[in-house]
Amino acid sequence: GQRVEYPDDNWFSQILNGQVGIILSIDGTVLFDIFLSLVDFAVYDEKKKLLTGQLRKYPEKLIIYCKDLRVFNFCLRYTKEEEVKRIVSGIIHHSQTPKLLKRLFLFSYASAAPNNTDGRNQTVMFDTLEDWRDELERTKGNVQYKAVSTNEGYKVSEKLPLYFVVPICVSEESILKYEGRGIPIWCWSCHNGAALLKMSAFPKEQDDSTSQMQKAFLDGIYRTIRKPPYELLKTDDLSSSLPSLQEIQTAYTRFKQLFLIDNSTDFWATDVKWFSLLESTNWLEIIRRVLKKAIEVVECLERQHTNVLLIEETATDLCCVISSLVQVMMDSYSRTKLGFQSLIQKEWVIGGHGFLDRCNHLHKSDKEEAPVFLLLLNCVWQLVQQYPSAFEFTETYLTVLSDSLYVPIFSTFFFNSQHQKDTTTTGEILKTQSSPFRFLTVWDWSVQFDLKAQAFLNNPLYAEKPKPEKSQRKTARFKHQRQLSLPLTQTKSSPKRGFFREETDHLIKNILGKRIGKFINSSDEPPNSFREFYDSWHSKPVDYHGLLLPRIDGPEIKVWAQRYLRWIPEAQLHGGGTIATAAKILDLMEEVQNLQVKMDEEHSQAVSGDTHAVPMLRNSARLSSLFPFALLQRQSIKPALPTSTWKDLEDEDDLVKRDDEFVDLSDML
Amino acid sequence: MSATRCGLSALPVLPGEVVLEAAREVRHRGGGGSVRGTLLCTNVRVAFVPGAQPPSFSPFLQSDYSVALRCIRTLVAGRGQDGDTALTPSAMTQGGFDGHHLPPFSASSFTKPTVLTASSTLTFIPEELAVFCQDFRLLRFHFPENGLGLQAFRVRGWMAFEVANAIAEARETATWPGDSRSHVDATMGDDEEEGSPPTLLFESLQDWERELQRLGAVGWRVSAVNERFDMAASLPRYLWVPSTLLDHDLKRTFAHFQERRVARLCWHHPNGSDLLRAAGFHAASEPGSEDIRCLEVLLGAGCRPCVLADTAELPSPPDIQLAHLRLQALCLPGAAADEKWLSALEGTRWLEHVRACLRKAVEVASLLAGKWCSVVLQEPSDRDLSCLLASLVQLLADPHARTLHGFQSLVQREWVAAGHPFPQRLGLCRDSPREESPVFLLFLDCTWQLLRQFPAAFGFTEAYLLALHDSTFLPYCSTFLFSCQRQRGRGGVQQPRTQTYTPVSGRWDPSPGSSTCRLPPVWAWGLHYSRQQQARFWNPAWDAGPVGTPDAVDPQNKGTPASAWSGSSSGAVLSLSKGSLTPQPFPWRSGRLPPRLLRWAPSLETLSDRGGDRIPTPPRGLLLPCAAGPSVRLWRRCYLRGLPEAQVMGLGDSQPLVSILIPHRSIPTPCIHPTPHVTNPVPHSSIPPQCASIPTPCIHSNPMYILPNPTCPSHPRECPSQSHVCPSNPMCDHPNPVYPPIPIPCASTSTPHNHLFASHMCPSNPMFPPHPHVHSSQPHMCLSNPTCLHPNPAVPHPDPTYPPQHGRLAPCPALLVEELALLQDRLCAWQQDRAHAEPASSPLAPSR
Repeated sequence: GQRVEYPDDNWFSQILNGQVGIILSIDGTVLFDIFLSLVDFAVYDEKKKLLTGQLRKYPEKLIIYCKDLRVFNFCLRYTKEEEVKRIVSGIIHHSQTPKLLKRLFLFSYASAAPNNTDGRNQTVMFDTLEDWRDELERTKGNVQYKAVSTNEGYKVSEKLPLYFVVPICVSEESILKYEGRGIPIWCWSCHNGAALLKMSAFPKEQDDSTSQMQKAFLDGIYRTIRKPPYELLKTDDLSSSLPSLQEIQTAYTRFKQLFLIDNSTDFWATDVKWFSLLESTNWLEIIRRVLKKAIEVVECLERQHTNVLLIEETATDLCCVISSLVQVMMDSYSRTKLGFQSLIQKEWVIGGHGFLDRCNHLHKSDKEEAPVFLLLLNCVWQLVQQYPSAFEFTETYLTVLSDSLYVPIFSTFFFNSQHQKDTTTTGEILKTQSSPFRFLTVWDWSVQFDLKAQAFLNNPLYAEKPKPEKSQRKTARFKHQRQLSLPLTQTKSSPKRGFFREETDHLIKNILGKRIGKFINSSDEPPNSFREFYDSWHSKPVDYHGLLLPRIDGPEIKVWAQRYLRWIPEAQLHGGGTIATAAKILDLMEEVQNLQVKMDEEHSQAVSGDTHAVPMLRNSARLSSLFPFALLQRQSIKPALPTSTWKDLEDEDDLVKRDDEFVDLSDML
Repeated sequence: MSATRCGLSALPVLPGEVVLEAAREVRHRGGGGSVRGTLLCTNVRVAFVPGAQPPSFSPFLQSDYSVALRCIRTLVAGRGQDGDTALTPSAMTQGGFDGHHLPPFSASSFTKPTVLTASSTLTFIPEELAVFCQDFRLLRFHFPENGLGLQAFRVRGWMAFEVANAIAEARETATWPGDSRSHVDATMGDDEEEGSPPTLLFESLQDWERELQRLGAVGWRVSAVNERFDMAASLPRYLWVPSTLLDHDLKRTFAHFQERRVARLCWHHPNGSDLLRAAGFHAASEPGSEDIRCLEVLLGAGCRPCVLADTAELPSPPDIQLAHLRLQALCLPGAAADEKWLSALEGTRWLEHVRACLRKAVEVASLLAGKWCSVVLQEPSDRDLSCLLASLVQLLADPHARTLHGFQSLVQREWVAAGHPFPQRLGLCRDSPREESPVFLLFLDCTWQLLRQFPAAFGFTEAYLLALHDSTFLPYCSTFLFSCQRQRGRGGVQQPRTQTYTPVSGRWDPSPGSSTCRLPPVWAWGLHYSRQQQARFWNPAWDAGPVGTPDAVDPQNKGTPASAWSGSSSGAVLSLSKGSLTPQPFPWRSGRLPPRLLRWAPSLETLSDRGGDRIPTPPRGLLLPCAAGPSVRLWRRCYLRGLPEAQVMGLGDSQPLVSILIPHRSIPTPCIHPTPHVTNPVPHSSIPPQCASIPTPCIHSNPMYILPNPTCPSHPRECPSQSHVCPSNPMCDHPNPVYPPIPIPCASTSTPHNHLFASHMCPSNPMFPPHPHVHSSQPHMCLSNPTCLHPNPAVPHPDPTYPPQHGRLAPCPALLVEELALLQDRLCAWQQDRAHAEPASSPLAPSR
């Protein structure tokens, strides 16, 4: 049941011009394409050896695993040897070996791409002082906080953005003193005035006097921001209370393996022990812990009216996750598409999350790699699937956003900081004397998707107006219960006694009988304000435009099925899945709109041309559950980025020349 | 103590039901607070009547607060702890809770849990009673003490004591309900639409004939050979057997099957392949040559390959029982740590059993639909997993079975009539040996998996499945009380009794003179579910498009049986195991066929698996669910109901559309909805006459019209297929010929929809085709009743008129449907208006 492609002479005809991606085509018809930046790793031959620089012989079979979880099987047996040589070396070179930032395809594209974007993007980019001031005003944080331009010219720190917001009482000198370390930086203000702040901690100093000075400095800062008008301050060192980046990376790598299926046998092999395998990856547990931490922060802000200061070494990894999550939970604006994009822009892109290192775009060091942003998207997805009506965007939006992390034509996720982006681009312009780069932002979805496809990013059931919505909450506040381990034994072929299995009697007599009372018995745990807050919120009706707390109990944290199962044909349902109902809703809405239009036309006595847009999903019931992602589905979303662009690129000689020096295969052999 | 003596006129008591004990001032602890009321124990059930809300008490037999005694798994009494401050008056008044909805109790109020049995004696006065139900509910009642005098405390304490003991005793002594001969005289659900196929009970010859006709099974006939149950005691009266087999010959075959449960037809695929079910071949029988001929004719061997599918790969009933118990234990609050939840779930093996059943059903359905084989489902007893498998296969392959009535008929035929021993399996009879095993609940879980995977393929919803799940334990519905048709009719006359279940004049009307069980079938949903709740049984997302008869000729697999099978194997007898077929002779022919393996397994995969570049789409109407680990989920709404932390009250999983409409169980809403047709009949004259004929806007804005008065002849009540059509449309059989030409907006003029109705006429437009979405027998799912979106009665809707938003579409698809219908009406009116204005101009071409 494997899907093997047999490239012949015509295939790979346009191997990617070195950098873009693999294009598989027969006679000019593009079957699919893979951005090389998407290639996670590749293996070859039956033993599935990892494709690295050292090759004994040319492989006959090649399996490419992509970061968006696609898996491609290639048979190279019938391909000419020099083709194989080119392909394999190309793949190795561009997906494995370290490269320079300026060699990223991003720059080639940015200098050559047609400037056809209208630029009317409403996402707040936070690259000007005004954006920050507007945000302060929107959150009513402008009484206690100010936007500063101290870092213009990056004289404070290259890691900090040009503009950021600090408490009014913090002086410019203290910002400059330790390159911005130890300074609480404002993230967001809650409606009651409590604010979420972040701070990059001082690195551990060997020198006593230095650390003494730093301590004194911190104490001074704390003193100033604890004084009125500021609220009480609670600090939270994320590096100690949350899993480390290394743990996150390990968990995700293991988790990902469950879905990188290259043949049916593997799939069914993992299937038997699916739940325990899933549990052993620890990925869902990390999501739960992160969500729990975010709820704790929300509790401080919302109920205790306390400022929360998140501390992390660089304040650009887990700080971003927690602060974004807190805002998604507390600020309904962040649950709109624009609001969410602005949030990502504020906390991550401008906030200085090291996308370049964390995504390992340059293949420099695996140690820095960690799916921190993906962790956020996974957490947000939990919220989206628990409260779909509260979000303007869909899970499909989150899925394509997670894919965009590796699309090398957008600048959004390809830099470590604002400083890096600015300096790299200006330097490049000076050197090549070419026209300035026109970086595309990922938020311009029309670059990737046509209008029809973009419809899948918007949630048709989004409850837009701020009005209380349905859904009664209920929870009796059972405390965290004592745990009673259930027998996990497999059915031993014990001698049958009568009709029942032996364990049956035990279960009836003990767990469901005598000991059942224990389950409703309270534990001796002292009341915990987090649990109380969590339970009392869940016992009330949900306001989709107010605070939103995710459920984090065992059965509630789920696998993001759309993202992780979408390329697995074994998980495909014909005529099933969410798409069956989503399509119906879209159809209905479209019909209503058509009718509305028609009526308006009639009223204005305009001649109606009877031109009805053909509803896009007429045949919805014949779609598969993997729509719009199924690999072999003809209607699947394809990036609208035309391949002709790539052809244009090919013609530009300088681009080819600017490519890395050709790697001689003989070096590898 | 009678109900009236307690002043409990609100509690509808069943005939023969006696209130044993009652305790007042009890608090029911639900999520979000507690409700005060009276706790009653009768000889049938434990019921809780919310006090202080007499007008809104449910007239229905089953409410979220009552539980049949048989459904109680365990009773636990507990004692409150001193210093429980959550119930002090100050705490009650805080936080904006009203008197009836108190803040949640503090967790530390339950100590000294004691499991109650009939023999156990309570050594203390219980302050709290927890009722663990078989259907995964957990009801908790509190007998409060705070802020009240000592005297009152004693009285209540005694009450609590008595009630607790009474419940425990009554549970042990609950009588066989069938003996009570009680006749429940209650208003039936009059949701039965004219013209819609009723639920067939398969007790009469007509039902069997009718269904056989629907299947189009040429070559099969209804045999009445078992009419007196003398051929096989546990089989139904009527059997579908080959036309070529005379009854005389048929009788020869009974002896060769275990329990004499002979092979008979279950379902017939339009392409000609048949699904049969039979018990195992009797080991000791040695059929003579004439018997062999009859047997082979019966099994349909000869013309098509005949596949024997046994249930060896499926879990056995004891396995199912064990897994179900483990699941119940897991679903107790706090049974597993959050981080160990998944492996604990795996450890129950319940989902593994679900997957095994789905996998097998997919194989059989693929054989029928894609491989042109006839399949004989064989289980040694033919009374447990055969029922499950036969019904699942039909759900996959027959779109009719996926409609609500089709599903009910399916359950009637494959479970009730076929003789699934419900009393034993559900533990309803407390005699030994106990052979409990929730095979039927496993089937409901499998159905839920299908529903989750194919949300648009089913005419019913998760709410319906939940209702059926809970109704399984009801003592006053006859459906699940008997183990076979013979038992059902025993004690009564030996003649075919009830016809198809069709309510006469809105009431359950058992045939007069019959002395057999007079309890209503469970399908009389009007008995225990309010109209509101019933409205949510219908799936608004149901896409009737693909539903139709399955393709007789599979477009993917064009050809004939002859081409699908090489000629030599067309008469082969094969056995299906582990997804592949092996030749297996009938036991009486052992040794004749060479044991040659047929290379068939890969081709089975092509239907359910990937194969080559083009994804083979399954034949029309055939569902091929995925039984892989990530695709089979836990039925949260059912199993986690007793687990307050896990109650996903938000919108679930992957069914945004459906889940919006799912009412949540055990919300303290004993039908808060006004039910004029039951309790407070609204005379038709009180309704503004012009309203009565405008179904759409009224339904949308005026709650009076949600429950149309059945006595109003001109009201187009609930006409499911024609709810929105312009009444004078020739396609509409609107009962009211006197349709007011100008639909003036009705009383509740505040609805913003009214502007849509300006003052246009709503005349007939023959050009305007009926809309598929509106007409697909889905009335108004959501009905814009506040209870739909705001299920809590204690929280009144902020806006009583509940205006659907206009700029942005309302978030409820049913509202969308309505909005669409309104627009269509308006468009229709407008076009007519225009046609009047300019008669010469050509009318608009129909848009679709």
